[in-house]
Amino acid sequence: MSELRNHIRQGFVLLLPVAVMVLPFGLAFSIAAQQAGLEDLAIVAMSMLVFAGASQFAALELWHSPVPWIPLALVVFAVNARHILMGASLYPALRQQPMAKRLLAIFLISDANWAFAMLQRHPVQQVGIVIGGGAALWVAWQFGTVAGLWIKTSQDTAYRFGLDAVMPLFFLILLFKQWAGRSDILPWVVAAAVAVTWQQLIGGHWYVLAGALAGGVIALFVPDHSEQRLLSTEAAGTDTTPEKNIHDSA
Amino acid sequence: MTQLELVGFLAVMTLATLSTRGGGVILMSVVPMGPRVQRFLRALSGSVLVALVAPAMLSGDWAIRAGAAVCLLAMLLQRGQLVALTTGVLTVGLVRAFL
Repeated sequence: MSELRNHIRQGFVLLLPVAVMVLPFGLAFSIAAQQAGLEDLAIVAMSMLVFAGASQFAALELWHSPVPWIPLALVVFAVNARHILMGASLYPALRQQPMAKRLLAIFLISDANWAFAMLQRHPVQQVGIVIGGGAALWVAWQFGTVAGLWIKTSQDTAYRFGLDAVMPLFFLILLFKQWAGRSDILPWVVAAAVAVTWQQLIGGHWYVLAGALAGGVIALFVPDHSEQRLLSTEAAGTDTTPEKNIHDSA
Repeated sequence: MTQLELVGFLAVMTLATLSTRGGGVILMSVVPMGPRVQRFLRALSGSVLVALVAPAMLSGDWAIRAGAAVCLLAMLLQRGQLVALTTGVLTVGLVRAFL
């Protein structure tokens, strides 16, 4: 038990430099959320409960009455689908832990602490880094979010300084980092084509999911050249070095 | 947005993220994931971002497209994502101010 506590502390310190990088992204989310019309309390509550930058940004587009409930649930799910693989790769380490620790680790799984945890061989150490590192990232995400609440801009000013571009550029950066080789080309082209066509011809909120699903299905028919197999028999995540993931935000 | 909708909105998001974070762990305890499921999920993560970005680029102005180009260039040059985001947004502001 105290062994895990030590690893949690170690994970917290290990992820502190990455957590500092998360701050400005929390700030950017906060500003974007205010632009979308969310109240301060709702913004902070979302960051605390959801703790996943990309899906929080994506949800802003769906923030209006009446709420498109099903697209909301499915978009958030799809944006975080990679977490399913991360959780699965941690399963051997997590099942040795009591339920409370397991749930805490699951709540805190995100890109950066997962990548660092995967570099460890020892299961207890993996769990410790997920929890400790996740705590560091979580705290930074809250600090960034709250700090952003002080920046009040009008829609007009935000447009003039290009702040409306934060969201698409953030997605673009995440996309760049997801690139795993040319086997991604066809699925991504299909996803773009379907999303754009759907938005132009049909409109509504389903275009994101239509594109995402089309890309996912096409990928099943494309030979996978990439080495990126999260659950390979060798040490999982060998392709994901902390250098590559060091700037990953929550 | 009513109070009830707000609570519902946050609840749906929370449950959806928990189902991805916890889903893999639970799934593995029942049945191991095959390579096709893994492939699908990995492609889904990338494709959803494409499906968010592509329509935004199409409907956006030239300033946003220029910002996206600068942002991608910064990533290609391995300047880190904070530099990429900042220079990208600055480009959008500059293009709107001067062009």
